[in-house]
Amino acid sequence: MEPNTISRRAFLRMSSMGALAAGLGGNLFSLRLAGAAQPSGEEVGYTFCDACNHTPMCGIKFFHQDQVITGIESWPDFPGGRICAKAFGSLQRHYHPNRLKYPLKRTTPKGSSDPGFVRISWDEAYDLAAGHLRRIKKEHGPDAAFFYVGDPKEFRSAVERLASAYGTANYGNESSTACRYAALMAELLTYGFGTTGGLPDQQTKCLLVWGVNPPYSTPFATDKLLDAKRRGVKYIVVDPRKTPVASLADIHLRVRPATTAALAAGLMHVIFRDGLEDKEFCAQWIHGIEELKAYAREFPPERVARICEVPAAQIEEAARLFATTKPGRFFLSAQGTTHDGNAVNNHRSILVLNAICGNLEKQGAVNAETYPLKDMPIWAIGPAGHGLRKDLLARKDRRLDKEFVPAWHEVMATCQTNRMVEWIKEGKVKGFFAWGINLMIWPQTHEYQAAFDQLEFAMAVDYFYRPQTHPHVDLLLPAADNFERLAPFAIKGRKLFARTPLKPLGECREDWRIALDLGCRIADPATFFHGDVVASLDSILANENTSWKELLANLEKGYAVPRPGPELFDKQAAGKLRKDGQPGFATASGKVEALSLVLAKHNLPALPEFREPMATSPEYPLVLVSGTRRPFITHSKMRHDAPWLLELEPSAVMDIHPADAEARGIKDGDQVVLATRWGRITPRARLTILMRQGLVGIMHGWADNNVNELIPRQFDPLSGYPPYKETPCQVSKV
Amino acid sequence: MKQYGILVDVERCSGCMTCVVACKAENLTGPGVSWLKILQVEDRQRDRIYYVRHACMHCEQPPCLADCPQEAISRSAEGVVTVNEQKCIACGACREACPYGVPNFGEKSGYFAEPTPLERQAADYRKHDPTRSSKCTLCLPRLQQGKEPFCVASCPAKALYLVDYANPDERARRLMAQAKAVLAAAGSKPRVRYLADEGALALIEERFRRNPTMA
Repeated sequence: MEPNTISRRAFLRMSSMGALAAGLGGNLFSLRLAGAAQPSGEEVGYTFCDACNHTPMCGIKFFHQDQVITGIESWPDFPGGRICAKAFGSLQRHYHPNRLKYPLKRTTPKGSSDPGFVRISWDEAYDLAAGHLRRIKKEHGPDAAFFYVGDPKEFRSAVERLASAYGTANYGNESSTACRYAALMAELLTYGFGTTGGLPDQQTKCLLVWGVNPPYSTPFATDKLLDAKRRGVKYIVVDPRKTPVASLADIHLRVRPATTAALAAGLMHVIFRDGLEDKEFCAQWIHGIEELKAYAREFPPERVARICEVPAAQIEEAARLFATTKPGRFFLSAQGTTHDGNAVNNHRSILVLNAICGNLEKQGAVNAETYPLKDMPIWAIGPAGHGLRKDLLARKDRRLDKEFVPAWHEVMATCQTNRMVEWIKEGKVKGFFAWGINLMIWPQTHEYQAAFDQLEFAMAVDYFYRPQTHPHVDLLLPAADNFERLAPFAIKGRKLFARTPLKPLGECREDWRIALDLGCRIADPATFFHGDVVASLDSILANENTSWKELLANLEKGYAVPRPGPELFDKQAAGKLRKDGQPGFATASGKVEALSLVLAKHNLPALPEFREPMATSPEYPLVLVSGTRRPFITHSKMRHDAPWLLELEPSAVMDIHPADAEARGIKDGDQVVLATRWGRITPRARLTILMRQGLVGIMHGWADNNVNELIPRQFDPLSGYPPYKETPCQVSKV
Repeated sequence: MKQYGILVDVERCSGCMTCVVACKAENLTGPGVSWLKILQVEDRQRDRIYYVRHACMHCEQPPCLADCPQEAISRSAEGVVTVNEQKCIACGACREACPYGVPNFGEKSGYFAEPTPLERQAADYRKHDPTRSSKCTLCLPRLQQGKEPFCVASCPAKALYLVDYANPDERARRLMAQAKAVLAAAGSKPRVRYLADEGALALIEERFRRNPTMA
């Protein structure tokens, strides 16, 4: 060691390592001292990241001294992979001076320029919220109170329990607005179980990646995708953009947005025409196979090439590759294929394409869980028992979305929320009780903001004051963050993990507990475990005969729920997919439904039919994608909350292909006008071949450039989802 | 004595920015100062996009060291180039001399009006005078604990490899044989090298030459 070769401060710190450095001299670097050099008094803690929506989350190991976090890193034994930029951002967010630390009550009328929030006690806050809950039930009936969980979503189950015990029929969340559930609806209608596929395993030979870029939305998957590519897995990527995963593709179909069902029909056309389908599986397990074949016949590659703007030869090639490279699997997003006016049928078309190739219930293909944990699904759905879902569903006939989206209403357990403007105006919703709500999720945001001002009472729980949302609420409660929350535990396959939260800053409380505390005030406190979060979690863990205490005893490596037997395939043949134990899939027909009985019953398109997207015009010749991902942001989260992340892109940036930009005289970094028939914003342009020509993309959630003001309130009749990735637009210089 | 360097696998990097933010979290650098950047380099002809690390190259013959009038820059026995912030007078000569325009100069020390508890409690090596020259230290304090630099340890794509030039293991030897120096003609013998095809390398060099500080 030559002390004069390093900075003085680093040297002084090393000197403080004292005898160790001095005694070992030049051999220091050959030693493995990981963990040994923590300053004395530093302790280790474990938690999960809440920056994304992967409610089996990523694990964070953190170091703290006197309750102050000094650093974070990936939790070594936590399954999944390494944490990403967003998780590191959560460290800076934790100490952001603007974090809400005390309950706040509004003191001026709605619509005032200043809501006049003042600090109140938790008791006063709970009394206020519980008082309004009781009053609304008395004056308008329980359904006039709407319960909602936006983001994060790990504590949904506690809020669902609150809604259910209160007596409303109306509980909704971010997934039932625009996120996971349209795809889930497609999966339930088609397969009878939820799956977006995933990473290839050792048997998978071909991976169909459609409308998702895992290196950005799930960075922990990147190394596995790269390694699978190296082992020879073939990749077909369908995405308008030249994303990092598209760079791995053997075939990259740069499809025109919102034409999913046409492309899938074209691929199926080739597969049926050339007799490449899995004939046995089709005959035995697909309902409506003849209708499907007849439909696919209308989509020869030349026609599909015109609709989707991809070469016909590429469609032929992709169809052959997927149908002949078995087993194949898909890796889908919940959003890339569902943010348009044909959301559910677009998504269903991919599921059906996969099924005709027989890529279901086989090793390396797409499979249902053999031994799902007992009532412990991902937290985005939440345990039905703990959520008292049975009671909620008993009132389903009164749920507000029944007429808006009848098929959704039949299939889904959660209320679709996009008609909230009308429901408030019609006096059907009088009170809104929200955790992590962001009004910018909705298209034509200003209509929702105006509607919220008409509510008799609105409550929100959040980390920060959100200027697009919180001026429209009466009560604002400070949420504990991911370093301060205890609930819930993490579910990773069959492993369960506890965590070790720090004392919350200020008077922050965890969302789960807030829901329990409110429950204690409006219902029998015993139903809400007298506010005891651990008891609440234990009631879930009891399903698998374990407890929080047992999870804590296995903190670092997790508690493994014993596996009852080996993984099974062809479970439909063995009667292992249906609740009644009969052979078949858990759909109405007992088969994979190319022709959906539920959709037919509601007079909705029952095949995975194509619907021509909104037409571009000379005035609006480009297509707008709201929500093209940045790898360091999920929704609007973490952007202003963590300046380390904001700094990477400090203002709204719109991606545009260089040719489209040059045709408009736009240079990189120019401020531009991005307009649709419904609105305009002025982001900066980034010229990039990531975009295909004719397409522009921008992240949602910029308060000063809210792209969802450009999206119309025109919804998929099946799911009620908005057309975030379909709307024609124009770009011009400012 | 080990001789550390990093190999950057351009084919594996997806531009997720984890290394950039992990570096901020580890080294607590101030606003506008990033010891590690990821550039998006586009090849319009071949329709390819590359994500490329830009940080101190830990040269064997660092021009910054030679040009610093204060002798504030030195090279440790294990090949890590470091700046002594207390000797630095912020003249900018190091940045001028660096073929890659690497040394950073900032203005503000913290992101917020007051230091956060995290910053107040940070070890000395994570505290910086924002106006002085600063740059990647290869996480020397971590190396001294037998740990990889934080960017290497954090990369979700596993696109960064810590190598010992003095005594490379089998894998390192194989990778080092393929790795190339960017702007090798500058003669500084960088120890951060890139695994990239010739086309990519030419574009990366062009980008580094055109705007070395990536301002």
